[in-house]
Amino acid sequence: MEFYLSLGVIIVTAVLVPFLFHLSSKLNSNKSKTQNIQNVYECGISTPIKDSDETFNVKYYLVAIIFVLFDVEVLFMFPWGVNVRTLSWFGIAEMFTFMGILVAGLIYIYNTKALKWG
Amino acid sequence: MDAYLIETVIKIVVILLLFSALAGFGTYFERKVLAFMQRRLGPMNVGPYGVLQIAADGIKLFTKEDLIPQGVVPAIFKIAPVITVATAFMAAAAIPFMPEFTAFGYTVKPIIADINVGILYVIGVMGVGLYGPLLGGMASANKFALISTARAAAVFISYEVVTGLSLLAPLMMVGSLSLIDINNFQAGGFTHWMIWSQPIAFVLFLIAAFAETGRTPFHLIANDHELIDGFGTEYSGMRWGLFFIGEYANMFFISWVIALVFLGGFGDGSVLGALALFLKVSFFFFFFLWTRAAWPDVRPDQLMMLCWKILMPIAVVNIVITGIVMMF
Repeated sequence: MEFYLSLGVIIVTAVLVPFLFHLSSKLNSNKSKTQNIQNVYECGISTPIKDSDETFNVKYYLVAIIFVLFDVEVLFMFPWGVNVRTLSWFGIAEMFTFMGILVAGLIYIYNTKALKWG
Repeated sequence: MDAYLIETVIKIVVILLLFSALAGFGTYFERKVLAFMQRRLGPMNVGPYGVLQIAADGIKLFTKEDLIPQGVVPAIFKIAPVITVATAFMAAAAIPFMPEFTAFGYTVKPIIADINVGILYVIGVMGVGLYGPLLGGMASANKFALISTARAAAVFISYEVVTGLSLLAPLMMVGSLSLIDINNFQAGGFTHWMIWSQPIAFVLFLIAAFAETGRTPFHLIANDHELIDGFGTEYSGMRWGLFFIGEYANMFFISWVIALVFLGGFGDGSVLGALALFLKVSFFFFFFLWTRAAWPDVRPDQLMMLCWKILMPIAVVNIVITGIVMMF
């Protein structure tokens, strides 16, 4: 159980060290004299044309929903994969049924053209 | 308990410093390799063969002014690079960097936390690392960064399923998720390497690793000629440097995972095995750079098509075949 301690220590260190790296920039007293350096970059145009926080249509939102489904299904397969020798044919039959449903879903998704773009 | 804690802290400090420095060396190496592949010399002026370019770049990054540009969401803007670096180094916790060795009569295990779900932890934490570009791009008021963020999501939803499925087949053969167990499974020598019994899984995982680290065929997030620097456009100084360290540390760690899972790792744990592991890791790091010199980028829809319509069915078939073959 000691590894929980190690994990805790590395999580704390890994978050703290980047903040320490930040501090180095505080050592430098050179501040730019103009405010223009803080402008948003847009191909040389000094004032941006429009705000960047407007909504726009991402065409693959459906893929994102399907992704959540399939990612969880992959996670279900890991416990079986590790114990595949002990579970033997019983496990194979069960998991192949599960994967059959997964593949059927995938074929259905292909047919509904959810994975077609442009 | 105290001794264990001190040992852990020393190991963490060594790994953090070593890989932050290696990230700097990685950039020098990348510039040299790309230059030689394009018949140039690369950095030559700072120090012998330009080696001190690393130090010069480091000093520049560390002493640059800390800029918060207009229109950003400051809290998220500041936290995003930290997420990238922190998750990259957290992922290192479950990777055995070397075989066990004895120094001054004290046995050192060069792994920070020997957890029994090692590889799941590494892949999971590396997946969280994508929140860095995602949040950084959305927090900055830049249109290139916004497009980059949308692409980051596209990359993530494409490769993650393939990563899981391609790793499952080797894990079925080993029967354990610990990277040390996976390594010991292949300890018998060259012919016992996982790449011979799982060549398809190796290729699939290698492709997924390129997407995971955002390297060139799938460098859509910060595609220089389309998106300037993508999510990093508004970042400068050490904040940008943190993204950089995170990216290169990730490249090293994923090279370690590939070498451990598919190419036999450190074998039986001898000195020769450790040296072989370093060679394998170096080769994969070089392979990342080589691909960058040789291949153009794909489009986001091509990446999604590749992952969902080609790689994923192949990975499922690979698991089915592995399962059936293992039963006999």
